[in-house]
Amino acid sequence: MEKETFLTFQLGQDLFAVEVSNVLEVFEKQTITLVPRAPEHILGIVNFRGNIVPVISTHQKFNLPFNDRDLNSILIVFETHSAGNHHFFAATADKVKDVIEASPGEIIPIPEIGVSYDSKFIRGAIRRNNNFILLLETERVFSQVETEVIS
Amino acid sequence: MDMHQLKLKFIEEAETLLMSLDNILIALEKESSSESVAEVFRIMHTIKGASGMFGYDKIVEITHEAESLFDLVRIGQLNITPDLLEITFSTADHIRVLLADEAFTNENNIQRHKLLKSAFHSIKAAKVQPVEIENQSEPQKKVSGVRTWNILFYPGEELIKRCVNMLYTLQDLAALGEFRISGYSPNENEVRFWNIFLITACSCEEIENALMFVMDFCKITEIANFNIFESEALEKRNAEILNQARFIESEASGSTEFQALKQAQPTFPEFSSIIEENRSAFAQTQVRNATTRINVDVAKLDSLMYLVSELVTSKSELLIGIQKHDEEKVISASEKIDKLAKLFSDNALDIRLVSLREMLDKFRRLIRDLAKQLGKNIDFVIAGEDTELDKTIIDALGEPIMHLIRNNIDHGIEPPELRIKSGKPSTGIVRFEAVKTGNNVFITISDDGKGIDTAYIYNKAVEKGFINSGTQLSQKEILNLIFLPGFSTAQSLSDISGRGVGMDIVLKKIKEIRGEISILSEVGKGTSFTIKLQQTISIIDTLLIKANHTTYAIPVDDIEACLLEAGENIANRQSNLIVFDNELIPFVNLNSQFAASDQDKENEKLIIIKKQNKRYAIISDSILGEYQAVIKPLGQTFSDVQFLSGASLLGDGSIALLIDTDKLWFETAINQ
Repeated sequence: MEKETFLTFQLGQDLFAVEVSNVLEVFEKQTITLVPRAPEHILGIVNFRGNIVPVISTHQKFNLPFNDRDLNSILIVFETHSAGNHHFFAATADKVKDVIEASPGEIIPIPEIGVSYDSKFIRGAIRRNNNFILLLETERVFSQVETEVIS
Repeated sequence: MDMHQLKLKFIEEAETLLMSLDNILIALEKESSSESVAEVFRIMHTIKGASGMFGYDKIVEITHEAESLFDLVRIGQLNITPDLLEITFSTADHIRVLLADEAFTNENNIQRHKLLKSAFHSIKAAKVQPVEIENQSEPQKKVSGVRTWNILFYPGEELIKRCVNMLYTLQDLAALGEFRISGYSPNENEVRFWNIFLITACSCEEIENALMFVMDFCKITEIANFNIFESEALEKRNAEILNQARFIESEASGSTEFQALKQAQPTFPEFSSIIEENRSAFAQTQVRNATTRINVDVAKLDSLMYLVSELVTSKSELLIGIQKHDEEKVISASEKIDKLAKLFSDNALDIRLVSLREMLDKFRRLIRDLAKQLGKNIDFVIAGEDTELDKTIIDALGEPIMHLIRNNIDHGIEPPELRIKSGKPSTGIVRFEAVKTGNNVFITISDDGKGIDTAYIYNKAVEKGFINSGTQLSQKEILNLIFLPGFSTAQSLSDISGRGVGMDIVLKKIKEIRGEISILSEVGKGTSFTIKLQQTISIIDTLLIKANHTTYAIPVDDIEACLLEAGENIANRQSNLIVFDNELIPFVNLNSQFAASDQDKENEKLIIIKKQNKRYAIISDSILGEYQAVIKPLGQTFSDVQFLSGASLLGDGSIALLIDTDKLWFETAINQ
């Protein structure tokens, strides 16, 4: 089986991973334009290659304490496909860590209980250096309709 | 080679032809002219030829019937009757449907096909004067020295690249004489070609001329020095004569049998239900269909080419300047490029402009059908159809305009008897007028019907609880009540304009394209709607302002004035009122749009918005200046934030939010 490549990033105390193929760009520093009356988990918009792209507060989505640094945090720009359309969006992260490879066998299912996140948003976990990296179901976590908080 | 591409091209061309057919038929209904008849014949003939090429056998069949009838009309053996026109209209609709049902599997289509064919036959049988045709048909014999040519046509990929319009080529061939085409082989592995038989007295050279643009793909051979279809044609004629003989016989043997014969033929009302069903579907698609291509005036493309060449020159000037460290040269070149950028954006907008003509062409037929259905006589008068609007606006405009026209015909124009009683001509006029002034386009849709009874509207509004009885309203204000959601004035729900889509939807659609609509009406004289539109909506002149670290853009057209010192004008912060022009007007504080924001700042600036005679003010931190904004959508995520209608990228890569001044006021008013 072929290995998959993931981008890992830190959010609060936990490490997360997303498939590299979905990631378009990582912004180190980008001014976010605030949009008044926007949905709660949306911080605002950024300019990505001439497109207006919404910024999702991953912190809020995962019910992590929100702080002002969010506005200066790192942004990962994703692309998702739904119903034949493709959308861009940017998600906040505290720190981008690494690019790792993992074979499908290395992805272990996470138990239904004992994990603080809803299992439908987590594809599984990868074990690296005694850490568990949670593999996100990007399409589900950031899909437009899914606005509920995840934990 | 991609036959599919050619086929799509054919379908597109055929639809254009059918649309002009509709309009010619409408003209024929009013007045018979030999040119129009010839035109109908030509269109049927062209469609027949091309359909054969692409294997639409059933279209070939039906167009052949229509063509032969109009041929009889052309040589004066048949008169144009309402029945004939009605069937031809249906044939046009039928062909439209068949274009989508190539396999001919839809049961309705098969049924309709049969009915149409027998309708054609019955017209032919009933109307052809049984005068000795054989004696009259000698002009056909006169064509002596006819030969039969065989043309093998191999459409290659090159053909598509050359953008050859095969329909024109076929028209040229048709002008030479009779021709028949058999289709291509659908088998993937075989060489595909069209087999064309042409019967003509013309020389090989003339045929080559007709095929000038596609000669490379053709092989022409003479196969006989007579008409190889002649014998077949003779048989057909014999059969026809036999039929007529029987017909005369039956007529002679008493009218009862003749009646029976007529009964056997399907009567028109019988298939009219299928037509109707078919027609309303047609109406739906015609109005909604947004074309994905546009026709562009060559002059606009020429100016684009000119700009490109200028850009290339300026770019190399700039490069040379940089290499030589010649500051002067760099500055002059970059100034030139700056100017060019403006011209490019003007040109791009210009290319996007489309004339109203195509939309109106679609309407003519719909209006005719509608008038017929409602038993009213309507004259549809158009002025200013060459006025141009941005393509996105035209696409969005079709539905609301059709709805207004429907209203005019359904509720405005009185039935003919009533019109005559009130001293008006029995034919009602629905007028469409488009005028361009500056960057605005005004479209007026008016009728000379019975007008809107304001007393009725007023009572209805009271009854529905929109206003309290006794409220003082001007005539204009009363008329504007019809734009309220849920206000339908139709006394009975007719199936034309009472289909649940009210004037509020019209208003909404017009506002979506940043337009305004107003209404004038006089009882007994008529009603007119005027829509004010901007010619283009992708680029707007805006004023940039800043509030709470966010940049906003406000359309300049909506702004009446800017006040740099807001402090003293603010009359009452609690009730959000300011004094302007000796008037108390409400204000919206953009700073308070965020939950956490600092209120009561120094140096607030006021922007006075004036729209449709309503004023309000926007309070902001600073005014940045004017900006020509290219508008981009905010996307689904922000669909609930209605007072922002888009965003625009600024020169430094940051973003300005475009304010919809109507909705900002509306939302703020509701929140309070």
